[in-house]
This record gives sequence, C-alpha cells and structure tokens, in this order.
Amino acid sequence: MKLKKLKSLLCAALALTMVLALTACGSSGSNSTSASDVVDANVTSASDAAEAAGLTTINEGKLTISMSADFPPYESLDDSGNIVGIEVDIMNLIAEQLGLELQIDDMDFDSALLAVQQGKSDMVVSGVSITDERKATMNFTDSYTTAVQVIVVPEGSDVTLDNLGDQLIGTQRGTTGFIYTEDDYGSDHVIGYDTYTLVIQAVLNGQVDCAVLDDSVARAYVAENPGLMILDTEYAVESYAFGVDKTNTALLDAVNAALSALIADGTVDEIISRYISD
Amino acid sequence: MIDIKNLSKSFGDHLVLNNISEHIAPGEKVVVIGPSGSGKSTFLRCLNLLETPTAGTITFDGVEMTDPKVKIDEMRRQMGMVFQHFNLFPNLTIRKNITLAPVQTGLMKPAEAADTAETLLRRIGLEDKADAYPAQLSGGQKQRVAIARALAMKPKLMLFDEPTSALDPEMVGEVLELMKELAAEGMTMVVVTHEMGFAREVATRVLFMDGGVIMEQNTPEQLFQDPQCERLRSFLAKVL
Amino acid sequence: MAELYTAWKAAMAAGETLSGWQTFFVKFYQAFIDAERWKLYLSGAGTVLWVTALALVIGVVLGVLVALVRTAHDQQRPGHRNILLGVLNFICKIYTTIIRGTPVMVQLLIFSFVIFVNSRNFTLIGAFGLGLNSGAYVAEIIRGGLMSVDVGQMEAGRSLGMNYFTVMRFVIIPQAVKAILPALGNEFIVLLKDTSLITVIGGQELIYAAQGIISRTYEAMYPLLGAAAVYLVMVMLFTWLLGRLERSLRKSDRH
Repeated sequence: MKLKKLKSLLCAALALTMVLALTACGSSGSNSTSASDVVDANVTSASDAAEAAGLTTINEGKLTISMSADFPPYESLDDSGNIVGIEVDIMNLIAEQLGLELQIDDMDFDSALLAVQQGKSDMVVSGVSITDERKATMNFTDSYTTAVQVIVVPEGSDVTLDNLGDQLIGTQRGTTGFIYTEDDYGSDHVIGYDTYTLVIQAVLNGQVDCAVLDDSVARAYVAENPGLMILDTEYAVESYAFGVDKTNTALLDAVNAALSALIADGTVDEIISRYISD
Repeated sequence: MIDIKNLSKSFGDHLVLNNISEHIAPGEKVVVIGPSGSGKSTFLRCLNLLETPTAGTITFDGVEMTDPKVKIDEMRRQMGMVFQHFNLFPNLTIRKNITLAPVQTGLMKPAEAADTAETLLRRIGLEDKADAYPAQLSGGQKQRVAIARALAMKPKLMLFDEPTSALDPEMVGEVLELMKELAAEGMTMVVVTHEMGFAREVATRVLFMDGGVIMEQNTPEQLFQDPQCERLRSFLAKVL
Repeated sequence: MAELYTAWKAAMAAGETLSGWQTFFVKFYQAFIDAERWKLYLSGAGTVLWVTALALVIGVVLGVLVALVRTAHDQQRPGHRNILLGVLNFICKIYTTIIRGTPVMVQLLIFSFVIFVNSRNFTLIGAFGLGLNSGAYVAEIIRGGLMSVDVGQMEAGRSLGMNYFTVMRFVIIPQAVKAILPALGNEFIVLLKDTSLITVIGGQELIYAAQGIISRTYEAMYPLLGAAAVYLVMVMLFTWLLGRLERSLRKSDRH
C-alpha cells in the first residue's frame, strides 16, 4: 500500500518536473506578470501545474509549511520518523497541483503559528482552528473539516462538562483548547504543556483531572492509552483550515482552488476516512 | 613515655621509614637531625598519628596508639605539636586560637580557658595581641602563639616539626628561647630541627636520621665531636 | 490609550499599513498593557524569585551534606575506613554523577512525570527539581572550597585533640566560606535563569506567562523581550548585591 503510493507520487513528481522544465523555457521574459493575475485566471484548472509556477513562495519552487507533528491522525511521526497524517496527505496533493515541492518544518504549535506570521513559512498546517484572533495574523483557507474539542478523563472520573470549572485541565499551550479553557475557567484551572504527549501523561498520572483537546487526536491517544475515555458531551466545535501567509493572497487563492477540487471529488473525505475509521 | 616498635611508613612504593624502634623517656629532650628527605619529619608526624604507620606500633604511656580501637583524639590531647608553618587558624583571634581546643575538647570551661590563654600570652609577651588576628603578627610571634596554643592543652609531650625553618633569621632566636624555657621546665620534647646550636645546648639525646633509619644517636657532645658513621660526618661538615 | 489601541489594532487586522511607531504602540500595548498582561509578567517574576529561593535552600542543604560526606570520606585515615561513610559516599557519588551528567530539562520531566506523579503543584515540583539539580553543583563548589583550605589547618586542629567535625566547624568551614560564596552567588544566578525551564512541566513562571501571551496575541517579540528584560533586571540586581557582599567579606579579611 505504502509502496504503491510512493511509486505513484514519484511518477507524478517526474511528470511535473518535465512540465515545469518546458514552461520555464516557454515563459522566459514573461516573469513580470503579476502572480495573482496568473492564478486568478487559472483557479478552475489548478491541476495545471504549469501556470502555478508563477506563485511566489519564501523558498522558490518550494511550499514551506510549519507544523507541530504531534497531532495524530492529522500529523504525527511514524515509527521510522516520517511525518504522516491527514493534513500531510492533503498538502502533498495540493503542493503537487501547485507544482511546488512540499517542505515540512516540524516545530511546536506556538512556533508553527508564529512562523507563518513572521514569513518563515508559507503556510501553517497543524490542525489549526479558525479563530478571530488568528484571522488578524494570517489568512485562512476554506475549512476542509470540522473538529470537536472533547474532554478526556480517566475511566471512572466524575468530571462532566458542567463541573469542568472545578477541575484542573491539561491542554497544549497555544491550542484553542488552551485559550478557550483559560478564558472560561481562568489560568488557575488550566495547565499548558508543550506537547499533547505530556498532556495525556499528566492525565494518566492524575496530575490534571482531564484534558481538553481535538476529538480525533483524543481518540488516537485514548486508543493507545487504556484507562482513558472521552466524555460524550463536546466542549466546543470548530473548523479546521490551513493558515496562509497574510501577504501571499495568490497562494491563498491557489490553495483554495486546489483544496476545493480535492473536497469536490471526494479525495479529502477518502483521506480522512482512511485515518479515522468511523 | 613513648615506645616505638618496628615503625615503617611508605608512601606508595616509596619507603620513608624503615623499621625504626626507639624509646623516649619522660623528661628527655630528643633532637632529630638529618638531611632533607631522611624521613625525620615523617617520623615525628607518626608519633601523633598525623601520618598512619604502614607497620609497627607506637605506645604512649602504656596505650598502644596504633590500635584502631584507641580514641586517637584523646591521645593527641596529651601531645602538643608545633608546625613549620605555624598553622594558626587565620579566622580566629589569637585568644580564640588558644582557647578553641581546650573548650571544644571539654578540657576547660570557657572562663578557665580564657585565663589560661591570658597567662600563656603574658608568658610569651603577647598579651596585647589577644584580640588580634594571626595575619597581624610577625612570623616569630606566630610561632610563639602556636607553641602557647599547644601548651594550653597541658600536654605531657611536645613535638616540634622544624619550628624555625620558615622564620626570618632575626626571629629564630625568640622562638628558640621559648623552647629552651620549656625544656628547662622539664617538658618532654621531640624536636626536628636544623638548629645545631639548639641541639647542642638543649638536647639530652640527638638522633641522626638518613634513608628512613636512625643511623646514629648519642649525647650532643659525643655526637657532634665524635661522629661514628661517614654519612653523619659529611652531614655535619655541611651544616656546622 | 485603550481607544487608540483598539482603533489601530482593528486597522491592522483590516490590512491597513500603519506607521512604525503605531505598529510599535499596538504590539507593545497588546503585549504588556491590554488585559492587564503586565500583571502576568510580575507574578511570573515573583514565581521566579520564590522558586529560585526554595531551590537554592534545597541545593545548599543537599550540597553541604554531600560535600561533607565526600570530604570526610576522602580525608579518612587509611585503615580506618568507615563502612557507613563508604556507603553514603557511594550514594553521593551516584547522585552527583547522574545530576551533572543529564540535562536539567530531562531531570525536570522525569521528576514531574515519573517520580512526583501525584502532585499537582507543578511550580513546587519544579523548585524541588531545580534544588535537587543545584545540590550536585553546590556540593562540588563546597567541596572545592573545603579542599582549598590548607591541609595544615586540619592537621593543627587534629593535633590539638579536636575531632574532625569540630575542626571542620570552627576552622575549615569559616575559611572555606570566603572561597565558596562568590561561586555560590554564581550558582544562584544560574539557578535564577534555569527557573525558565520549569515551564515544560507546567510550572507557571515568567516564560510560561510570556508564552501564554504569545499564544493569545500571535506576537512573540514583545513578550519575549519583556520576559528577557525582567530576567536581566533581576540578574543585574543580584549581581550587584553579591558584589557588595563579596567586598564586605574581603574587608573583614584585611585585619
């Protein structure tokens, strides 16, 4: 399965390179055409990689994304240290369609958000929920899925959504779970950790009463850690999207076009269902 | 008073004392001479176990000090020691230097120790320095205080390890004078020194050490006038 | 001020280009004044201070004990080896080797997530962890200080019939203190800066506060510079105080 995927990727990449090479020859001298013009004209046929070569990114020819790869099944490290997950698969396809090489920079979540704002990455792809505050610092693509913030507790715990305010809540610092719970219950009730792994460990140790995190991540961690369960009542519902460099609207449009095509033909759903069984 | 049997001491592979047996009687003033590296300082330091003998026994007043079960601190209280570099406690006043040990070992109450210190300081003519610190004293004064400090413990025996070697020449006299007074009072003394004049004048017996053994011993008159072995002759030729 | 901030912030969000000082004002206001965020830095600094103080006390107590055991062990007379002292010395050696051979961050993580799994006072755990860490370094500082005192001092004390600990207490330690204090002051400053590490186990000190603000404002420069400035001010203050202490100690040296 994996091998096949790799092969098809390779073929695609090869084809892409050839097309790129051709365009590069053909379009010499027309570099002055503004990037947005090119992309606007081609939103409907984003799969035509040739035109996308006009996109400017921080590293030429590459689509640099910042990511905190501790968020399965959206992004995480597999046993051999490769970054895998739903968003990785989607981004691979998008990059392919834009004719760019995907470059993933793994960092913690705070930094991943900041990177796109500081021009260190073109996009932040890290299970980012759309919030108003974040909108001020980056452009969001269309949402490709909704996520639910759930409450993870040890089995037999008497924590409920209603008495959440009396608990010590573990979260990953910088996530919406962290910000929302701090807003709702005050910082005395919330501990922000650097990674989800530590959040879950703290719940297992009983150092915090519960954790608030994204549903799919929660399910992955609960599956791996017996003794934990997810409360049926949801803490919050949010939309996931990719954050794009605010100065690069051309990229935003191009990604949106590619993404909507992938959503329309069912590819995104197919990818998600491959990782999330029900 | 002190009985040394088959005393050997080595530092690693280096044998410093080689099977020495010796007896020191009460009231004796034994002066140990010899070239540097002959083991005379080590010999002296073994007597109060500042150096642990590798082999042999040392018996003081009938108690075998080298027995691990013996409380060494109690033995040492009976034998004072004076060092080449004085080793006064620089953080304490002269008075505290003298009273510290008598008080801490329970020998005297603080008031009694203070009186003793006062008496001793008057004796060495440094009563006005009682509240000074060692750094404010000259070398000769320091060594006299060091002697007073040892005397405060009312020892039965005094060990002197080259007490004048670190002094400026003009200060040697005052220290030797004090030692002579002590000798005249009948204190048992073992003195390692290069002061041949002192040996001649004060010693009841002189030991000549070389190569970790006592090569020759005699009364000072005999030893200096009629040295028997060649080593001693050449040593005396150099120092006299 | 608040109105200006709101207005300019809205303008920024709408994509308008503001002048340099307007941008500065908005970001500064957002990082320090808005939502009374300066209080977070202050309480963070307070946490830094009490964590440092607690860690230092633990470190010094541990350090003194370890240093005494190790020095006492090393200064035993040959043939008079004390078995209890040998065991204690072995434990102390393991302790210093492990602490000095592993990163503080790892120690803190292990301390919080493996050892003290039932405690919820993460800042306190952090202080204990740092204290445990500091103890190993303080022990070496103290051991070095004790070793720096001339061996003749111990010999003179012992020759007067005082036992090892009496000589240590009245003669060796008072002299060693002068050599130890400057290095201990240094350790104190290192410790103060190391408190930033307890943020990884959820200890809520200055950096935790700054990172929380970054998470909310998506602006890293001002909170980080602010936190750095607070650290710098504290370190400079303590360096100055330590300098004064050292000078007064040296004065007492010149009798």
